[in-house]
Parts: sequence; C-alpha cells; structure tokens
Amino acid sequence: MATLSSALNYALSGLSVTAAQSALVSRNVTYAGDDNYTRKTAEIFTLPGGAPAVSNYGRSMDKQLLDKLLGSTSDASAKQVIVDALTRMSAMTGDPEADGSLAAEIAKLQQSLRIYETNPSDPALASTALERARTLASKLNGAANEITDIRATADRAMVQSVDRINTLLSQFKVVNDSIVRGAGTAGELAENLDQRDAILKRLSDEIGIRTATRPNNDVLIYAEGGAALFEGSPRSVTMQRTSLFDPGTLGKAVYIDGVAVTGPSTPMAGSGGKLMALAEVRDTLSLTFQRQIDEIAGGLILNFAESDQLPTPSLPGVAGLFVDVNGGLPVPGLASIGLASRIAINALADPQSGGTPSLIRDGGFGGAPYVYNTLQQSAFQGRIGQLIEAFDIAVPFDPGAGLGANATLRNFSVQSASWLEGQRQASQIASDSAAAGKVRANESLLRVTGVNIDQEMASLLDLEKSYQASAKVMSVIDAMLAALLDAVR
Amino acid sequence: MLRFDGVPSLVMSGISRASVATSQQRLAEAQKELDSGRHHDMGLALGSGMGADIGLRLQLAEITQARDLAAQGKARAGMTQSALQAVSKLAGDFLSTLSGARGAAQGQQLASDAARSALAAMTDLLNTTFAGQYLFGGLNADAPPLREFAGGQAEAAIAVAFQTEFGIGQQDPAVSQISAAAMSAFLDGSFAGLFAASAWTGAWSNASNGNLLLRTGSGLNLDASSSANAPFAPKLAQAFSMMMALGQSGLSRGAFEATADKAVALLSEAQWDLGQEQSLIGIAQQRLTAFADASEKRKFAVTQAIRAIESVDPYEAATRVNSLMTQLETSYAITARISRMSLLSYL
Repeated sequence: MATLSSALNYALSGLSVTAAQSALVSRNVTYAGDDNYTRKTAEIFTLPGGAPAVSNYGRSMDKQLLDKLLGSTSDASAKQVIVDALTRMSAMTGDPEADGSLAAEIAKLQQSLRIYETNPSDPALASTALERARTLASKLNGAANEITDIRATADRAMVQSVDRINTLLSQFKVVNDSIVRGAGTAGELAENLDQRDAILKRLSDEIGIRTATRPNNDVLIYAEGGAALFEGSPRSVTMQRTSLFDPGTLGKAVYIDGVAVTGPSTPMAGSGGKLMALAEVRDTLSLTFQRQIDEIAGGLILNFAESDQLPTPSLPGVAGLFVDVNGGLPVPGLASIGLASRIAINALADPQSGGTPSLIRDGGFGGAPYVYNTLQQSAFQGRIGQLIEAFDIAVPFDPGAGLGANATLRNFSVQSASWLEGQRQASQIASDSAAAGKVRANESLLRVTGVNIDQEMASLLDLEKSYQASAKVMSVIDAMLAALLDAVR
Repeated sequence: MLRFDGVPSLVMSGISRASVATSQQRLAEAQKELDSGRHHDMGLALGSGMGADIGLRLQLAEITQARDLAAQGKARAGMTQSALQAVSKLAGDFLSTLSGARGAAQGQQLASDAARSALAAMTDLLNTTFAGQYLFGGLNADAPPLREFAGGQAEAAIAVAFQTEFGIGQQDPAVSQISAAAMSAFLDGSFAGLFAASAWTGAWSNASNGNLLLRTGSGLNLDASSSANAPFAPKLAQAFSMMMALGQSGLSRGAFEATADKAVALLSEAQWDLGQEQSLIGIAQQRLTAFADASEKRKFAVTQAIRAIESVDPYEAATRVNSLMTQLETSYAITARISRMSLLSYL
C-alpha cells in the first residue's frame, strides 16, 4: 500500500535521477568540442518497489563508421607523407622559368662550351666553362645530399613512428584491460571505450590497422599486412635506426613481433599510415630518384672521358673534366650508387688546385697519349667540338632508373624531371582525395557520436521541468504531512 | 521527452571552418596565378608534362645563344671581309703604280718604295685582331699570322737565294749584267720556291692551314674565316717582295721589266683569289643573316609554345578569384550566423 512516505521516496529518487541526467547533459556540453567524445545518454530502469534509477550509460557509436575512419586516416596520412617527400625533391628543380633544373645546368655547360669553341684561345672562356662544370658538379652533389637527407629524415621519422606505435599499444593495453575486466562504474566504462577508440584513431595515423572485437569486448589489432599488433597484450614493433646515411646505405626494416613488414621481400607489407609511406619514401622513391641523378653524373663523366690519341689506340679510357673521386670510369648503362655525391671537377683543370682550364681544349687529363691538340694550336676546336656533340648523342642508361634505356644526357635529365613531377602530381591528386575521404568519414562518424548543444539544452529544459515537478511533489507531501501532524497535535 | 535529431555542433562549425581554410588557400593560389599569368605550382600543374616544358625552355636558351653567337660570327666575318677588301685595294693600287713605274725613269726606286709600303700595309691588315683573336691566324689565334718582313727570316732567305743564283749580292753593281731571261728563270725557279706552301709557313706565316669554324648550335656550322695561308697571301707577298728587294738595285731595264711583268701577273692572280675568298665569306655572311632571321622566328614560336604550356587563362583566373571571394564572404557570414544560432540565446 502506497503511503505518503513512499510518495516522498519516489519524488526523492526522481530528483536523483534528474540530477544524474543533468550531470550527463553538463558533461555532454563540456565535451561537445572533443571529436573523440561520444554522446552519452542515461539508461533508466525501475528499482524493485517502483522507484526509478540510472542503471547504465548509453554511448552513441557505429563500429563500421569507425573502421571507415581508421582506414581513411591511414590512407590520408600515408599519401601526405609521399607528397611531402616528392615536394621536397621537386624543390630542387623549382619553376622551369628559373632554369634551376639539372637539365638546365647541363645545357648551360654545353652552351659555355659553345662560346669557348668560338674563341678557344681565350683563357677567360675556358675558366667560364670550368666554373659551369663546377656548378653542375656541386648541384649534383647537393641533389645527392638532399636525397640522402630525405632518406635519413624518413628513417628518423620511422623510428619515431615505431616509438609512438609502441606507446599507443601500451596505452591501449591499460584501457582495453580495464574494459575487459569491467572495472569501474558504468560511467567510467563509457569513458574507457571513448579512450580506446581515440587510441585506435591515433594508431591508424601511424600504421594501417584492422580491428576485431571478441564477445567480452576485447579488441584485437592487426596491421594491414596481417601481422598482429595487439592480442591481449601489445606485440613489440621494432626498427633499428641507421645513424649515418650515405647514398649506398639501405635503412633497416620494421619488424612486428619479429617479422619484417617493410622491405622488398616481405609478404606482410601494407601501404597505409605514416610508417609504411615513410618506408616507401626511404626504400623506393628516393632510391629511384637517386639512381637517376647517379646516372646523370655517370653520363657526364663518360661524356668528358678521354681515349688515347695514339696512332693505334691501345690504352683504356680515362676520366676527363669530371671525375669520380673514388677513381675509375663508370660502366655505361649501369648506375653506380652514390656517384652523384662523388662527382667532382678534375683537379688538373681546376685553377684552385693549381690546374689549367685549357685542358678542356687540349685534352691530356690522362697524360701525353691522351692529348688531342697535338699541334698545340691555341684555337684548337676539335676536342671542344667533340665534347659539345657528345651531349647530343644517345647513350645507354640504367633501366633501373625507371627512365629510357637510351637517351642523350640532356633528354635523360629532362625525363627525370618529368618522372618526378608526374609522380608528384599523381600523388597530390591521390592525397587530396584521401584527405577529403578522411574528412567525410570523420563527419559521418561525428554525425553519430557527436553532441548537439541545442539538443542537450532542450533535454536540460525537460530535466528542469521534471526536477521542478519532483520538488513540487515533495513540497506538497510536506504540506500534507504537516497538516496531518497539526491534526494529531 | 522532447526528441531532437540534430547535426552535432562539432560537425556544423567544422564544415565552415574547413571550407574557409580551403577557400583561403585557393584564393591565394588564384591571386598568384592572376598576377603572374602562370600556374602557381608548375610541377603540380604540368606533372609529367614538365619535361616538355623544360625541354622547350632549353631549346629557347639554345636558340638565343645560337642567335647571339651567329651575330658575333657575323661581326667577325664582316671584319674579315673589310680587311680583305682593303688588301684587294692595296693590290689594285700597287698594280697601277707598277704599270706607271715600268716605263718611268725613276721607275725602279718608285716601284721598290711602293712595294715596301704595300707589304707593310698587308702585314698590318692580315694581323687584324677581333676579340683578342688574330682574324687570319686560323687555329693559331694568338700569334700574329704574318711575320715582319724587314730583318726577318723571309728577307734573309731572298738574299741567300739571290746570292746562290747569281753569285753576287743584291746591291752589287754587277746586277746590271743579269739578263731578262736569267731574271725570269730566277723568279720562276728558286725565288718562287720561297713562297711554296711549306716555305711560306716556315718563313712568312704563323697561321694554321685549317680555319676557325663557327658552330653555334641549332644546326649552324660554317667557315666564315680566311687565313694568312689562303692562296692570295703568298702571291701578294711574292709580288711585293719581288719589287721591293729586286727593284731597288741597278737592274738592267730588260731584267726590271721582266720582274715587273712577273709581279703584275702575280698581282692579278692574287686579285682573282681575293675575289674568291671574299665571295666565300660573303656567302657565309648571307647564311648568318638568314640564320638570324630564322632564329628570331624559331624563338618566337618556342616562346609561344612555352606560354601555351605555362600560362593560365587570365579571365578564368579572374573569375576564380571573384567566385572564391564571394564564397569566402558567404562562409564568413554563415559562420557568424551559425554561431549566433543557438538555443542558449533564447533560454
């Protein structure tokens, strides 16, 4: 039988439910600006005896939309990394109007030789040609250093990414464990679930992942290639940093649980996330570009190489104006790794090292048998003419550079610029669409999980009404009890 | 309870924030394109077409250089041409002096003096320099092509030859005994030998046999030079030195006339050779002029091609700037309205 005091109890629990709901509204409003926060709702049930109470917290979430967001996040981060690397490489070429490309530098050297040929007895023209050659050599050195630096930077970023992955996985373990154990209040559980999804989002920025959920709400994480990242406990992701990069250095692979996930021969490679994209920059993109400029350097050395001028040629060719500081001549059609960083001006022609620039006209870098200007004519044009023509003769190039196998030196360097900008344009388009995809996925997810402040305010109005009603009930019951007590006094 | 299925606040504010950011970036790019008339990021706009663009720019540089080098070569050819003209005039003037002197009383001395100055003038003309190069030096561009006659190897060689032929010196009074026939034999024999190719390069000329070629690139490859080893030079030198060295001595009239006749014959041969040389250089000059015109046309065509690749349509860029500005203003207005549009303002 209902009594006045049980009516008072109902009103009281009504007040506490309203208070709990108001607290939730306040919380929703507070976190409205956090995109990892999901909107919480109170689930109300009736206690034995009929009074209402808050039993559980509802959490707006859509697993499919979250998975979509995770996928598009790693896609967008990966593509952005590639675009950044290509943009850095392309900065070496710059706007064609500025004539800063390698192709333009090569053409400038050929032009300075043409001017030299019109007046070979003028030592100033020899020096001009020599300085052009020096500029070209140092431009190649600079490009080689820049590429090596791009690779070293990628290597460092990979190590940082691996560190972040490990940190995130250990944070994930703490949160996932408490979810699986069901520790804490209902409110805390909902917070933990939010936090776990937030970690997944950050993880997908670093590496492409797939998740699977077990019935006890335990989440397993796998890398795109299939390697397990988290199964009850984090698997170790390791990568050894290469401290000193030179053009021939190959960076170390990333291992998940002891299995290589980057590198040419791994079956477990993925393409999503910063880590995988950085590995592609370090191991593929930059190496291809490096091979191209190595081949340009090799082509230059061979262009200027001398053959002996004996009546019956019998001596091997020697390097002319351009040398490999390690000595020797490159093999035509076979890239010599790091040659672009080793190409230099022959000291014999360099006045700064006591050389004579007019060796360009006379030949003889290899000694007396290699002298072309045997009559010692001051306006000898023959050798300069040969050098100029060599620029326009197609020679074999390493097919591994990804360009034509037979081209003139100039066309090869032009093709290299085309290759680079083509890659950059394609990856920029891909990156733009991936970024848009990420924004859309995030928006779709937010539509489900996000907080609308107006909605919360409207709920608050509701809650205010029921609070007022419960309070009114209490004051009425109070008045009734008072009347009863007055009657019995 | 009041149900309300709204768009989350974060989505609403996020949409306009993102669209403002992209619009601002696009606007900056469009403004740059409008200012420069070219794509804001050439590599991104052209992609693998970048090579074609760089190739055209290299071609442009090559054509420009070829044009400049051809202009320089034309100046050099013009200078060579005028030196040759002056030499030709020298030969003509000497020829008329000689025909006058042949019958005159003081003819021998007159012819000898005129020959001396003509030889000196020819030496000066053939030693003309252009941009530090001796024009007539061939590939030996830094030594004067024609050596000084007076006191030089050539003068001594003539004296020796004379002594050997006649057994007396040039100044010996006995030279008057030399017959016209003996003189002719000397002039056609050992004297002429002093001007044969190998003797010429030994005693007279420092020039090389090959000429300096002009290769400008873009397909122009020509010989627009002459050299002190060209056929006219030994003939003229022979005629001048003949009259100078032999004319001054007391030759008999018959011997002098034989000498003068020989000199006249040589001079007219040399004039014909000079004409040949001048016309060859004239042809080269014409080719250079034609090449300069063709270069201008090619340069224009390549410049047009580059512009076609690199330019943006200015009207399109202008429209883009306008529409982006409108879009941005709208975005700002919407952002302001959305932020005001909250239930909070009405509670």
